[in-house]
Amino acid sequence: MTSEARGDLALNVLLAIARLGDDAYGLGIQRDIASSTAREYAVGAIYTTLSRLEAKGLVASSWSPPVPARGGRSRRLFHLTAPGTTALQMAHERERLRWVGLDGLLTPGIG
Amino acid sequence: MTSSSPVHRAARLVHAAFGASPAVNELLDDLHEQFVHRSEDVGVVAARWSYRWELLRATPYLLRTTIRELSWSDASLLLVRLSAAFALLLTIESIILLNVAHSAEVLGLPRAWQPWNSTSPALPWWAVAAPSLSMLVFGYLAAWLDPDRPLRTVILASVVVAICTLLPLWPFVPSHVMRALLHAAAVFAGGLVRFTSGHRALVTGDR
Repeated sequence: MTSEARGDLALNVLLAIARLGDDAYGLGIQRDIASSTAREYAVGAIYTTLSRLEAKGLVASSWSPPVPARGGRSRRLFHLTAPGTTALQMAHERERLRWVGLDGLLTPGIG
Repeated sequence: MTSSSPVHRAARLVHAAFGASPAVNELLDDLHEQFVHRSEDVGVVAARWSYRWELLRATPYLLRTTIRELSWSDASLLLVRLSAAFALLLTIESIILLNVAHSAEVLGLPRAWQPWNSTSPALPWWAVAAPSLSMLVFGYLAAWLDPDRPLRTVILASVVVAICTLLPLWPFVPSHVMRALLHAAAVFAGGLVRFTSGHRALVTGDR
């Protein structure tokens, strides 16, 4: 995986955690990314990214109460930390700045 | 799902290979949950293949995790096991070579068949293949000495062997790298032989 693809996946994982709220676990994150980007990453790749993000302090994890669907075992739930939220806001701002000055081009009916 | 179903068996195989750490269990639980959902959507057979494919795709993560979770006590135990495997290998080889040397002398074989003799004009093919065979046996012994996490031990043994093969040969040329890779592959193959023979029922699906 190239560093660009890794960064892309990390951003997608952060976005999925933000969207899923209190129900962000490995498989749920993979499904959310699949539905929002039409790209189905391996669960292993999701966990690799999650452990990298956790090491950077952008996400934190805790164990859920036992889940009947998993035979009574717990899920590891992930949530954004304050630096993670800031990183997401910065990524959003960077993306917004990329499109500055192109409003005319993007208005329907012109061109 | 019965305890002998292929999905359950694959999970037990992963446990046998990498140990039952929380990270491994978590991944297997996720994959099982995915399997249950997919069974309802696309049928059991397709879901089973999907499960195996996902497990294969998760192998790099499992390897990374199992190596990252190595504590200092694990590492020292691993070092002891690798040393013990190497000592065992040397003992076995010494016994074989001494017997072969004795037999060669008794039978009066030409010197070209005696690679331990420094005056031999050329090494016979079996003497060239011997280091790889030794590494194969080393991998087998290393896996045998660690029944809890044989694959992790074998992978780390492969890395150690590759480094130990390469380091004395600095500056490296491509043939040195090839030799190191060959030795590492032989160690891994030996470990894999031990692992599959130790878990034949899980690999083949026999009860």
